[in-house]
Amino acid sequence: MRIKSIRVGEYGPLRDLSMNPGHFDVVFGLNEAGKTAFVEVLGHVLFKRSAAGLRYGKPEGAEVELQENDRTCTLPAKRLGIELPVGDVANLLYVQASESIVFSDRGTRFWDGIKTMLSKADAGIPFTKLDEQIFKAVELQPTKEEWTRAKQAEIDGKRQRKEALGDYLDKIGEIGKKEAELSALAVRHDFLKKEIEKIGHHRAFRNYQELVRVHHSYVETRTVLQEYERYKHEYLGGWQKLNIERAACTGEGQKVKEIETEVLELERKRSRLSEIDQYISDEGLKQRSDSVEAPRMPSVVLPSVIVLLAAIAAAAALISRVLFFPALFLLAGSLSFFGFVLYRRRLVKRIMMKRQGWLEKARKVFPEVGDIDQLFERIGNNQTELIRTTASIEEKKKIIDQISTARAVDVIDGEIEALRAKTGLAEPSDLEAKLSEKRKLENELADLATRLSGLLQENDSKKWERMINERKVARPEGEADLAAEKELISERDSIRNRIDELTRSVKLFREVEQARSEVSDDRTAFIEYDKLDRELRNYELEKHAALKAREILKSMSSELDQFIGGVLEGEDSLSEFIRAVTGRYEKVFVENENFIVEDRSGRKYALDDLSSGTKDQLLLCFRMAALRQIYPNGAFMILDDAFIFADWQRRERLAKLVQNFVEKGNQVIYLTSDDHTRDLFAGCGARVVTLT
Amino acid sequence: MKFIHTADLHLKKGEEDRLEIFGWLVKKADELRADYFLIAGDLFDSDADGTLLRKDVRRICDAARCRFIIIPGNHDADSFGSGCDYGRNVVQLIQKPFHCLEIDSFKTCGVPYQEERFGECVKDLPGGIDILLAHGTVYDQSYIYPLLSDRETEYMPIFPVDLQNVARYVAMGHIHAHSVMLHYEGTQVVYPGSPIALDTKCDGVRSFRLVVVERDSIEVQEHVIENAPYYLSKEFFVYPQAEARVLETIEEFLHSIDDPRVMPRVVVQGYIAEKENEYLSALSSLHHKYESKFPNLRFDPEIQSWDTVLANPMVRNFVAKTTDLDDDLRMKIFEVCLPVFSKVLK
Repeated sequence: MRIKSIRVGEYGPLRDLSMNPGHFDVVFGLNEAGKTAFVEVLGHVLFKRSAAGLRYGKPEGAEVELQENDRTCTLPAKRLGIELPVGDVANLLYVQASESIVFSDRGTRFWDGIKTMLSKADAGIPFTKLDEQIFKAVELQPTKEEWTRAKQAEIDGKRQRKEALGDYLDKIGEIGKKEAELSALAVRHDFLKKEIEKIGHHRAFRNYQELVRVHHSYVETRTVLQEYERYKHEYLGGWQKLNIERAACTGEGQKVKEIETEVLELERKRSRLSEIDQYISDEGLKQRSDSVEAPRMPSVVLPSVIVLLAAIAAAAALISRVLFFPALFLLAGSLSFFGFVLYRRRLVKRIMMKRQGWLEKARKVFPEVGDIDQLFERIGNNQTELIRTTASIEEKKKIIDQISTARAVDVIDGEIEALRAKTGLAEPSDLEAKLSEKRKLENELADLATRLSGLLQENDSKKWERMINERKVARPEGEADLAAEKELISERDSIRNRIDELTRSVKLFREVEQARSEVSDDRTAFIEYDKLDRELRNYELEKHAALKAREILKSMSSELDQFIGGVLEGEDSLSEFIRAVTGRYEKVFVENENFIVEDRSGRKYALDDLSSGTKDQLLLCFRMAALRQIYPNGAFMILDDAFIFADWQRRERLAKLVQNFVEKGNQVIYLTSDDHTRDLFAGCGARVVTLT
Repeated sequence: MKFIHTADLHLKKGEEDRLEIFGWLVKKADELRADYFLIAGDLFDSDADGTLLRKDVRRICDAARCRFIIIPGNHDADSFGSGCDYGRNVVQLIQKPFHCLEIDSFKTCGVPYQEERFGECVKDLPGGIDILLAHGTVYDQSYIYPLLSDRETEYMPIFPVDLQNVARYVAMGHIHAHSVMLHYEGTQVVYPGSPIALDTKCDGVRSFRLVVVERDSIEVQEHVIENAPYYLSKEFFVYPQAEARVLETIEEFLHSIDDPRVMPRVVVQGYIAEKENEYLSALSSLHHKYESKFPNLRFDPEIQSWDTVLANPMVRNFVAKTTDLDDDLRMKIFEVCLPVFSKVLK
């Protein structure tokens, strides 16, 4: 790649400058001849440097024609057929005076400066700074590759929040079901409550109705009973007495006669009974029969057998002369017993003869009597009948006496009329019926009073009406199944318990869990969970992106390291060029990201130990070696008084190095205001272009 | 018992194609010898549309061999009832909180849309239900999150626990975008998705379910609706230095589509080194070139132009080194790094 032509219209001191550079040109111009303006135009057109920093504004009409192999293109242009020498190598192509000062002024490490030069077309920003800024943008710590404390706290907070919401979301289904059950139970509970209230109302009304009814019956019965006040028991007794009295007075003479006849008859009967009683008494039948009990006749069979046996025994003893006396004694005893039995038989026989004699006497008055026992019964009956007959006679005589002392009929009738007037009844039987009714009513009233005092819990009947009024209940609407009350209450209580249990559970969740999770509603929880999930995944992706960016930047940096390493040794290398320029240093290598220069004695010098001029020369050599690597077919290089700080000996060596660079197919344009340098380059074969 | 399950037709006056698809579905049901045609809510887009289109729906239903079982959805809650005649073939399950029938000895229940939680609606539902129709949002974490931004998901929330053993097959409606199949302890829950591409969320081929219920088995088949246009969304990620190539890829994509039902939706995301208006203009030209090929063609560019910072060779080198990364990571790297580069490399 080479510059084929340069055209500048008007820019500062330059007017219609036209130049067709050869392989090696030295552009000479005194101060204010437009040399720096020329460099500015090239920088703007070739390297797209901003016009903002140019002294004379945007250079209008400036053109640079480039050629690469058989292709050419004219800058500036929107689309180019060849790749512009910008970016990685742009800084290689343009060399200012004292490059080392540039780097040290910016305060960056030399190595970073080299890399910056190789990597960017703009201000020197090291990769490490980019890396830091990227990490800062996502709040990662560059050294630890971990989140900053604040970011980590934020992520932890969001992660915890997400977990809490996750737990919440896992639970809401169950709670939803409980809430649904709760809602259903609440409806059922309300229904039951109303039904029970309705039944209660019906019951209260029924109780009230019952109170009213009972009280009404009570009042009514009491009123009815007042009408029965005229019916009194004493009236009935008096009335009956009067009736008897009247009956006596109204000449029941016939009846008196009948009674007298009856009395006469009874007296005759008493006389007969008395005679019998007298005969019994006289004969002493009762006392005798009482004193002697009927004896039993003893048997003689057993004593006879005993005597026989004793006699046999005595005979045997006599014959055998054994136990004669005991046998004799036994015989005597048995004979004595036999004699006693005979005596008892005689005595019984005598008593029986006596009793037969009494019975025969008694048969004179009681001929039908068969034995002594019947006799005793008959005697008792006779005495009883005698007493009864005597009493009856006395009673009937009293009646006869009463009748004989009776008042006048009209007086009795008057009294009876008075009773009729008092009772309003005709006969005692009517009064008796009324009194029976009255007794029944009194009982009913007492029952009613007992019920009322029980229902009202008050014994004072005067208060009852007021109390009932106070308990007045409006008539309920519709029907109620009073029999179902117990069942309904049982179901209601059961539901109440379940509601309490569910309410506790749901309340615990809604008030505690929901409050703990700071959730306003379930859908919001889902949305927030999703948002947090996306945020957390985004954080991870951001972290991944930052780490990947670091990896890329490191690889870019590493590629530059490798490139620089390749430039150090071999043909057309940095070491070869620095040896040719300085004649002192043999070798250049890299240690700890810094150039180290070694002289012929093997002594090593760090870059900071070198002079500014040597640093510049090192950088120039590095550029030329790098360009040889990048553009093996040749590139252009613009040197802006790049040897100004070199001594004359090194300047000559540099000129030779540049000449050699040109001979290897490269193009060099050197700008200088120094006529010695111009001549030096002219001596090396450079074409001189003078700015005027 | 064989039936077709669909929902969310959102029939609307002026959108005649929706009615056509309904007619096609009904013919298809007869072809497949389905006994019943289940519509799990939102047959109409609004109650006004219900009034305007009832006669058309009645005409289609009357001509069908199969019978229809419909529940109201949130969009057409008042379009059903004793005063609304859909012909002799239509059974409306409108009683709240649920409406049960025995159909061909299978217990079938509908839960019409109501402003209650589903759990409360079905609390007294009898056991042994074979088919349940409902219209609401099942809050299942396996699929719900991408849909939460849609306010429609506020309606009639249903939690998985509410569906456990509630019925053997739950025919759901309310989710338009795509079909969803869920299983909860003996209950198969299916959203067939809207048979019509109502909006760009309705991505992919539209379908319905053909369900064969036996005493001891349920067989569910997905059938494509052959005449229903559908959105086909494709995301393209554009990166610096690949702008032209992405345009070519988009064109290849549009060129390759030969299904006349497809309504492509081209989402272009990413970062460009070109001027934004220039790139948008290039996209617009592409849209213009292909818009006549499709029933509908949408371009949704979401691009950021970082032309200034991407002029920097180092940044371009950096961008080039991200080429092999997956799109999500690459986009995130640009999202993080480009503002930093822009700020640092002034």
